[in-house]
Amino acid sequence: MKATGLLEKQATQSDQVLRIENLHVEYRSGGGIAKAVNGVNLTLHKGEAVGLVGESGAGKTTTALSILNLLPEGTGYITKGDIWFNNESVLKKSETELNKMRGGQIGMVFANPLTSLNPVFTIGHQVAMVLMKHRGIKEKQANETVKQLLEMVGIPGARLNDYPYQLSGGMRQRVGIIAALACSPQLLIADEPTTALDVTIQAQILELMKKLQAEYASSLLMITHNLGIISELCQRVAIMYGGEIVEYGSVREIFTAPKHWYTYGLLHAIPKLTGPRETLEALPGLVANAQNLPAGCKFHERCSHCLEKCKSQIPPMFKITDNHSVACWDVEGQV
Amino acid sequence: MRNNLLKRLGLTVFVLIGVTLIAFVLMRLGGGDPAVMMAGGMATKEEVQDYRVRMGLDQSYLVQYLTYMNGILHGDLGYSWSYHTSVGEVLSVRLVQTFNLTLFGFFIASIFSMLLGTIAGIRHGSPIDFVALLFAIIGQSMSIVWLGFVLILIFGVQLKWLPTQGLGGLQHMIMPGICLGFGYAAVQTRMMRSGMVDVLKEDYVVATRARGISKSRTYLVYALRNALLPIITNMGNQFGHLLAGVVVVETIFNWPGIGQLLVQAINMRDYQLVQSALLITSILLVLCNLLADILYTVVDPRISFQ
Repeated sequence: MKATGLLEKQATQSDQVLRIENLHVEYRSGGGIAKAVNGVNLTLHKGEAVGLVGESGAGKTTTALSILNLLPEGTGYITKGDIWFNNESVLKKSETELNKMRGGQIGMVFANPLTSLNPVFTIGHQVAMVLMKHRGIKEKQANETVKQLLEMVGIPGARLNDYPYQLSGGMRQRVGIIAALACSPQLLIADEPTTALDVTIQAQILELMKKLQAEYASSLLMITHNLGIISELCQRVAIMYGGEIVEYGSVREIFTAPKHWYTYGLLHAIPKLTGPRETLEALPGLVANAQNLPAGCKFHERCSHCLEKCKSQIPPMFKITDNHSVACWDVEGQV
Repeated sequence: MRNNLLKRLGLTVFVLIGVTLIAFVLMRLGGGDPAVMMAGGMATKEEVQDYRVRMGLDQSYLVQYLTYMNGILHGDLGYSWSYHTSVGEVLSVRLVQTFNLTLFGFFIASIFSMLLGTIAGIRHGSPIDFVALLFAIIGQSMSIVWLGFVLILIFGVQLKWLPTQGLGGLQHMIMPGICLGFGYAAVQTRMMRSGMVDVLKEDYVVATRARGISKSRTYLVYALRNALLPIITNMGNQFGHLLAGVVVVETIFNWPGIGQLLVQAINMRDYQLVQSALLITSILLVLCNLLADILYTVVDPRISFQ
């Protein structure tokens, strides 16, 4: 029984698009240091859809911004680790190379479509700017493509001269999605793309993303706190807590047989529509404070199965099957 | 949009009538007898009375006001007793000078404050940001009178770089222009800075960067436009403050504009000159505010006159 390495094994494979290695990110401001990401390892292969799940403050968005090397300047710092995109280190890229990568090879969809579109530029221009930048074409030519893209997501092409305030939330998010996909990126990062939308619109957007991901054959990193979305879209899922990935594996295995007590708690906090009525099990306590992380397992203070060991030693990733690994001392004896 | 513009212009007519009324009343409440001023200290009572009748001051206030307003409606701004000519003629010459000076001060102050504010906002927390904030505090709290004299003392008297008085070339405009625009530049710098700081925190700035747009282009094209919105409306409001400053600055630098004229006219109890000078200044102010509102709809698509 050895702590491993599912991720290391895959690191040698050639079809990997993204590899995050032992990523550590800190936010420094006003004397305080918040350790937002503490040793994340994650690999994405070509065409694969991976879900990154966790509560607010788990470090999901920070991980996403690190991939683009777009952490807030002067406060966000990558202190350790590296990120490899197409086997090139993102952290060693020049600003020019980064700008080529951002939007061209990696597209990102943001959480809130109401704030992620610039209110004083037309939606057409905000999609066209990606094409102009990465395809080197003029706005007039770009607009033709923008019209097609808009039509593809069910918005009349003539509306490209509309401003964001003239569109509904769902329509705006569709604009955000086509802006991210306009240059057929190899990797699409979706940072809670449906959180700010109505439930009915959420389903539409997810359908759309599923369709487009297949069409564009891009890999997808889906960040969310909604487990339903993961089962809908992803093959693999990484559960994040306190800036660490605590459980990783195929969606099927993790959803049917979660090994980490945090994952278990998350899954049981979802109401079931069938079977007898049960009281919902809410996770006790609050999300680990990044400015004052507990020693040992970050989750131990909220864990109902906490062992003595959990309070002082950080659990390594235990491999349960080829498709499933977990960072929890409780499984030590079972593996 | 046109209807709404017309409605606004219609409303301003009432504002302007109010201005004439206040100016009229204030001059009469101010004390002093224009007839005495005109007749001179040595004049007899009969001579003063004679002047009073000729100037129409023996009539009731209501008749005086209506006579004046009747003239205004016919494009006649009245007669200046101290200049012995029509008010329109006096004002038109002076207005050009004030216009030149104000525009010059407004222009350099706007450019300066937008540059400084933008840089300070982008590099907020840096030494240049500190300088900008310091300038904003000093500029807003400094008296124009004091600044004017200090400028004259340093650049006029000590260094002898710039002329201190009167009209001339561009170099004559530099000191009064700076003096006039100083407080305005301070306010605008502060607003521009905080606007930029706020906008740069917005999601759409990160989203723009995530599309591969370079940092400088994101800041200067996509963020600046948002940060400029409050600055532009404030321009219209601040222009009024500049016009108020003209009175002081023109007096200090002996600049023959409408501000200096107004001070002289008040001293001379030149009723109609004061009334019409205030009316014209008010019209200018109203037009500036209207212009700022129109400009706002151009920069921000969310706002229209509907």
